[in-house]
Amino acid sequence: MSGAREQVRKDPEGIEFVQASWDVPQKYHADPLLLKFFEALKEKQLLAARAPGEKGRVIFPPASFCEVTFSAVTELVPVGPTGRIVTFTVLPGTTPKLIVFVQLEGADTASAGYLRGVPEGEMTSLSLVGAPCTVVFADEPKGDWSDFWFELID
Amino acid sequence: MRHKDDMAAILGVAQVPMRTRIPEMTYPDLLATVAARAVEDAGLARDEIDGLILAQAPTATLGVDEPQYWGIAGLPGAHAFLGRVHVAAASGLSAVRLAASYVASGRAKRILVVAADLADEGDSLRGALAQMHDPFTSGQAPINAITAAALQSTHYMATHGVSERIFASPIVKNRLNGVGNPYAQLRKPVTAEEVLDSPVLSWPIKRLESSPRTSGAAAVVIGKANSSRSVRIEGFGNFAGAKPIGAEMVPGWTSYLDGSDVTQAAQRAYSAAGISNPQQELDFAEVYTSFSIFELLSIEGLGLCPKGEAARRIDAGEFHRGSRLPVNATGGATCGNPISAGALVRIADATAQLRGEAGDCQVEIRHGRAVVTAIGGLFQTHEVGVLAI
Amino acid sequence: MKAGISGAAYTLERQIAGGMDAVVQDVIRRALADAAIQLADVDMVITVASDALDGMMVPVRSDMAGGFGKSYLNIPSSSGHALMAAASSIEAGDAETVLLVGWGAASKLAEFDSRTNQFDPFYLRPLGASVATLQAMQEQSLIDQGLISREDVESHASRMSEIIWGESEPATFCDGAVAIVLQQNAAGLIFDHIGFGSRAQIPLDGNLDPAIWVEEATDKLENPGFIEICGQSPSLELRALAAIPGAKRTNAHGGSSQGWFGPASPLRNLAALNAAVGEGGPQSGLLIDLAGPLGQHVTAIQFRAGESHAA
Repeated sequence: MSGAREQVRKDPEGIEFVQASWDVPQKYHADPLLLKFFEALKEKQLLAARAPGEKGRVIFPPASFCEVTFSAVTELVPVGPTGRIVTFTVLPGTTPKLIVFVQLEGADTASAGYLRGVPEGEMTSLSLVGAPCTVVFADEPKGDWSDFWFELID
Repeated sequence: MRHKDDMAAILGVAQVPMRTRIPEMTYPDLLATVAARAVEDAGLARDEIDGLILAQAPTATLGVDEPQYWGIAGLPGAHAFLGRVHVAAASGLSAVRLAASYVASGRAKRILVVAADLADEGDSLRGALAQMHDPFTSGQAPINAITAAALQSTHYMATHGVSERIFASPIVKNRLNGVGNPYAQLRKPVTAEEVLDSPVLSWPIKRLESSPRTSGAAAVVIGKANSSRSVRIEGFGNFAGAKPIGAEMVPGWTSYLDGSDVTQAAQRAYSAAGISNPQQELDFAEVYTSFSIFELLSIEGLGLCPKGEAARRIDAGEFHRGSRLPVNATGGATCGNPISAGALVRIADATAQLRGEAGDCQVEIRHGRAVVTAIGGLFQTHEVGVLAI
Repeated sequence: MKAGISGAAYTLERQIAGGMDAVVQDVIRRALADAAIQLADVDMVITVASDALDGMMVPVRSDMAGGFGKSYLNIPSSSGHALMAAASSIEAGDAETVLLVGWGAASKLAEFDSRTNQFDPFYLRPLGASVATLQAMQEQSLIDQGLISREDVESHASRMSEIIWGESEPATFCDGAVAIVLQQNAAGLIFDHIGFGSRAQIPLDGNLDPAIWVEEATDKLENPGFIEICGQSPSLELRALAAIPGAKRTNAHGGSSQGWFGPASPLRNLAALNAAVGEGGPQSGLLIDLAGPLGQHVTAIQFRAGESHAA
């Protein structure tokens, strides 16, 4: 059976298990607006999708449909680079990581990313919620998520 | 509001003691065990079941795709299988909601809803939980159930000006309640310090604030009331929100951050059940608490106390087992959380309470009414049900 | 008051390039337009799709299928189950307007058939069971019993493929999406009666003849003039058709064995029937969904044209 490897192993409690794995290969297709977003990152540009209509939501990262109005979205608009932190969490480890949700200027959504430059001892400060921040780009962006992160604005 | 006589009711329930692993049983064994007991509890014979629904969340841990083809053989009602309901961890309540619609519509008379989980048949939940992510917009940062709950928790702290210590309150209460629950996986109390000193999973969430990995099973028989032990389903409410990842997180509308998604589901359920003042009309609540923040948001979202107040009130003795409106008197998901069966366990626990058959966990029943909740996915789908005896 | 179809739309292709999201959203918009309603008028969304085909858990994608803010159910086991759920919810008064959405990109099964994992891990899989082997076993047992012939099966497959694709080369997996709006007082097809029944994966009575399952499920239904039978394999469809003698027309929309994109496949046939009813198509009949690799979950829906089409 393709995609599965099986072997029998004995458990410390003496129970026999058949070890197998079920790998279902997938080919995921990216939303076309997201592909344009990744391209724009190479130019250090941040693009969001604007849903149609007067009250059209500005969706970041961009998506080809607005789930609230269920309308197809084709227009791309710039957002940021500044924004506000909506909430955050810290992943522990030898190098703790600060994950933030930031609402960029001009966007109606908040999106995840890493906040850098915060000393470890200050990472769990609630003053981060609502704090202004800005997108910072890598020197040579490649067109993926590692191209940018957030830093606090003093 | 539906007339009492037209309402679907819970006729019988069953569950097995929850443990990390149940190596002596296979998936069909577990299903068959609880199915038989629930049918017996309903005072029915096997062949009186004319419908079967399987509640089954993602099957990666089971390693079997669409397990209904295999798992339902020999179960009561297997000849009249009505489908698999899969709404992640809300599957059990969604399935009961569907069964209630069948009975109320007259299309079936007595439906068995069943679910089982073998949590250790997959080395880790990561593969299963990875199915919740859009592979393109989840590359920004590792958003999973734990970090998503942590983001909710931080927002709650900032909104209400409270410290991370509040998250210990529901845990201490629930773990103490679990001591009296013979079905609970975790039956030893913990102190607030033990909770707060446990390793940080994703700040502010500590390990002891999240539920363990659990194997278990539960079954419920739904039909028109057939005895004084039948528990009526007065109303269900379901609300599907949006993903909290990437584009879908919308401040201002985001029910995910402020718990108003629970409120929306609750309002639908209360409206169907004719409840206008939950604090005065309910005896207890069994809410989904795989993370401490869920209990706080659920208590508030159900309208049992003002926003931001839940932890303080727990500390002051409210919502404990001996209080006026206990929450998770059985310990709830804090003490054992089988993903597919969990919501059916809420129903089984609530039914036992309303019947006065909850043993050491028994709470006082004055109104004969209770509410149960479930949350599915990355907190998108919310189920709220109102039960009455 | 029975539930019925107010609007429907579908897309079916051998292989859909790109993601399914846009395709699903498109059929939803077309179905809503067909029903002359807005998404805001829908109060419940039910999806029918397989996690394994999507690679993402279907219920977390409910918003993609129009589910945001609605009451939501996901029933991946079969179209028949989802249709019964929709009808029951409406008849119980728990929903007024249900949007049923099904989709699947089964063309990928040609590379890796994840359905192999539908068989039990203790007996069948170690024996090398797969959908192909078990369907072959079913077909062979029907041939051995003299109930069908291989030529008939091939001829059925060619005819169905001709209807669906306009060419007689048999096809199996494909990609598709369907959306159906259900309400009471519907203008399209009304569901009069729904019969159903199921068997275990390897039936305890050892019988693999689907005609028996279909006879049971259609026991209380009227002998129709028209039947559309949908199963995963052509032998299954062919044999099941024999269970209802007296049908004057069958499979006007090709069944689903030659256009199978997952558990939602029969919804396409239903959508096509609904569209055809105002254009000389069958005004009443039976739609039978034989779900599962061997067709053991049977749902038989007796339908008739709604008021606006009544002659």
